[in-house]
Amino acid sequence: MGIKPSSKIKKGKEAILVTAFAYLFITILVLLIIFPLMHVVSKAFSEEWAISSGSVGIFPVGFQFDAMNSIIGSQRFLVAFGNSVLITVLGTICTLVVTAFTAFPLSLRNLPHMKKILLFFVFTMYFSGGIIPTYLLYNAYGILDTRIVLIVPGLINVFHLLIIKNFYEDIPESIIESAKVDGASNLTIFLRFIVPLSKPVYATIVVFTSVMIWNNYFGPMMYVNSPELQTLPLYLRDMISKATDIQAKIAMMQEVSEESITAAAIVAATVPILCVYPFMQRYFVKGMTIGSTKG
Amino acid sequence: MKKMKRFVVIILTLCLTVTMLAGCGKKVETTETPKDGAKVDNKESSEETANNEPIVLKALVPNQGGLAWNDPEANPVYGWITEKTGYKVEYDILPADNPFDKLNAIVAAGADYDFIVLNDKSRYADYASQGALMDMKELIEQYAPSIASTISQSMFDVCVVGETYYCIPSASPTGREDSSNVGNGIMIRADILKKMGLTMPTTLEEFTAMLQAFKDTDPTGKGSAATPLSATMADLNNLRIGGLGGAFGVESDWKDVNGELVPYQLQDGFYDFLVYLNELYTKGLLDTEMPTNQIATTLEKFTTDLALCRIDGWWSLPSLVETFKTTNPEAAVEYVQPLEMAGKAGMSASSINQMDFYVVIPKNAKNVEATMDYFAKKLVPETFKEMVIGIEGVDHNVDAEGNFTPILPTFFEHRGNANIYLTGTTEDYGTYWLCRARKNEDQFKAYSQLNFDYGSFIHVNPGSDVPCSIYAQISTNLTNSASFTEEFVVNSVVSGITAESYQDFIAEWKSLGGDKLIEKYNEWYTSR
Repeated sequence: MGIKPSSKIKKGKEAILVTAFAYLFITILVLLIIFPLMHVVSKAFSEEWAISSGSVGIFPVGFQFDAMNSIIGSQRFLVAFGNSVLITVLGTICTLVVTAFTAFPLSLRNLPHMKKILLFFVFTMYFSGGIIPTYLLYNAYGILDTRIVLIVPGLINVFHLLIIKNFYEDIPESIIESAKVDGASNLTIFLRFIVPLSKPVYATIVVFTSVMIWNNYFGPMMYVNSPELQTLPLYLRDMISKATDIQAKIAMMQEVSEESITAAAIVAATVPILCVYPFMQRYFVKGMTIGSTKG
Repeated sequence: MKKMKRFVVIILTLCLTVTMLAGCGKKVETTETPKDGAKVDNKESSEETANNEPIVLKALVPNQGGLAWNDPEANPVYGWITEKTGYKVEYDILPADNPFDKLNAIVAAGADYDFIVLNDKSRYADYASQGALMDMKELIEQYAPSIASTISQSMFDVCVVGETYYCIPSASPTGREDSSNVGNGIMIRADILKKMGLTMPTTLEEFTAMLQAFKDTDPTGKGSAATPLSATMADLNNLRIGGLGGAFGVESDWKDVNGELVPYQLQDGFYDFLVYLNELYTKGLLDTEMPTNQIATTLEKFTTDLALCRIDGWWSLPSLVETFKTTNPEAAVEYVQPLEMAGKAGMSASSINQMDFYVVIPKNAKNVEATMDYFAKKLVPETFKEMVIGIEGVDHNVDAEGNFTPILPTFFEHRGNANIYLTGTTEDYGTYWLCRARKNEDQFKAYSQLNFDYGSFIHVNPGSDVPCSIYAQISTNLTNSASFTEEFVVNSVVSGITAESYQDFIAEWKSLGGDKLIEKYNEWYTSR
């Protein structure tokens, strides 16, 4: 039993200095992060002349909502947002179920040919088929341009599989053995003992997977064509890209600057994840260490 | 009992998940996913016509950035075209970022889009030579002979790959009769120039002296932060073709020297041009932050009196003028005329036969006849005119000289972004397009200054008409050449250039495919 430090003990000058320095350092660090963010937010709501003349600092100059309106007011934005939410929720549930089930047999020490089976999984971490062969494969399965292509190919993330597998291995074998003695089947052991004990690792995987699916740009970019299936990152990337040719430049009549549109797209993309992040933060930190302490 | 209940709950959850996943598949009422991937209308067009429903065509189009493709089906032009032609087009849009990765995969998978709009000459040439596209010449003869008479033959000639052409060309608008339009030039703050007591420079010597005077006298009071000529890395090439390179005779990418085409890398004045830019840079007359500058940075410097000159297109004038109205009503912007040295001056433009889009029909397309009919209907001269500039008296006016001017804001409400729906352009497109260029007085003034006031300085690049069949053989060489040259130019301007480093560059450029470029371009040039 350790000695509990008393809060009444006076801090030495040195400790106060260290604390002050720590606060100062962290404040500077926070400002370094917040200022650019505020600058982007300000640009999203500033008038064109203010952006062109570099007058925008951390607060909007000459307020306008047109840029944000052209992003979030568009039908495509709403569709993309809805798709992203749907794919993230479904994808996360499916991935968790499949990965959790797959990791269980792999965590059993008496599984025959375990190393060879594991090699099949680990191999895919290092090698993939390449863009065009993968595209042709999905094409042959007929899943191109569907939401399935955004969920099913990523059902098992080997890195996450290994994290869960390691976590399962840390669960005392005596629990499993005693359940077996009582006549429990493997499925019962998994559902009644392993799953309830593994909630922390599941929470971490949910966080990792949901952020990964939410931010996924490449998958939707390559495998989805229809505008009604587009996801948010894809839509926002298109909005951020500048008009490249003369026709597009002079066709534009809106008096909102491209910089403003870009900033509005960044804000629109950041806000949802910013709202959810505080609730997920602790699992991110846990995720870094979970399953890493094998007995 | 409890165990059973839990088991049932799990099974139900799994079933629900599977059902939801299945629901993620595409809707099948009007379209289906065939084995080769792309969607296709599964109802016969005749059946739909009988019901007076528009026939659905499926198109793949490039994303030009900006808000152009934000809601293509919400644009009034879209509804107008559907009503006028009887065809409804469902657009799939390529991503703005690395579109060709996806396009290559789609073409490799044999997608059956009814038509694809390409905005890249090399890509068109590659697909045509690989046999991925239908012979457009044949299709026009068979289904829509009227198209041949509305588009000039010289446009089709540029699109020839092998023996025939595989696209309907959509011209790049110009407004000029003998060349494409000049976009970029050296902008100058005329108000600062006046304050310095100088006149607009016309020679390279006067231009250099003006930059030096700006640096020495600091007329805007910004001290060492001020830079006479602000630019980005990409602007170095624009400086060459947009008025500065002409003083050294290297404004054109290709030049006819005694009947032979010579690329600018090998033209006589290129070395001297780079030496000159390096001198500007080392003396602080060319922005020392050039390697890291973005367009937004140079714009900011220009609008806040930190820069006297910068490079930009005439289309940026409305936004610039609007900014100055609030920040500095005294400010005035003009383009410097191409600078002259020893009798040499010029800007470069491409020939009139430049394409914005190559509209192609892929080999696996199913509704070929309907698609050709759709193209032909849009190219009927009256339809095309109304599609592009709307109705006279409502969307535009015509003056005594036949010039079209937009009626604002109606023109942009009804015909804004009409250009993205083009699938071929008639010979009058340039005239109609000028209506769009006249959307803003300042913009048109800047356009006119570069293209008409300085029109006599425009030199047409003789290599710009190289047909796509040649392009198909050299597209990789062109890409390599451009990136290698850009790297060398930036290095030369920043770190200096010597006769040896230039010779080394030429040797390496040739070995990277430059030699093949010269050979292929000249093969075509001499056999024209």
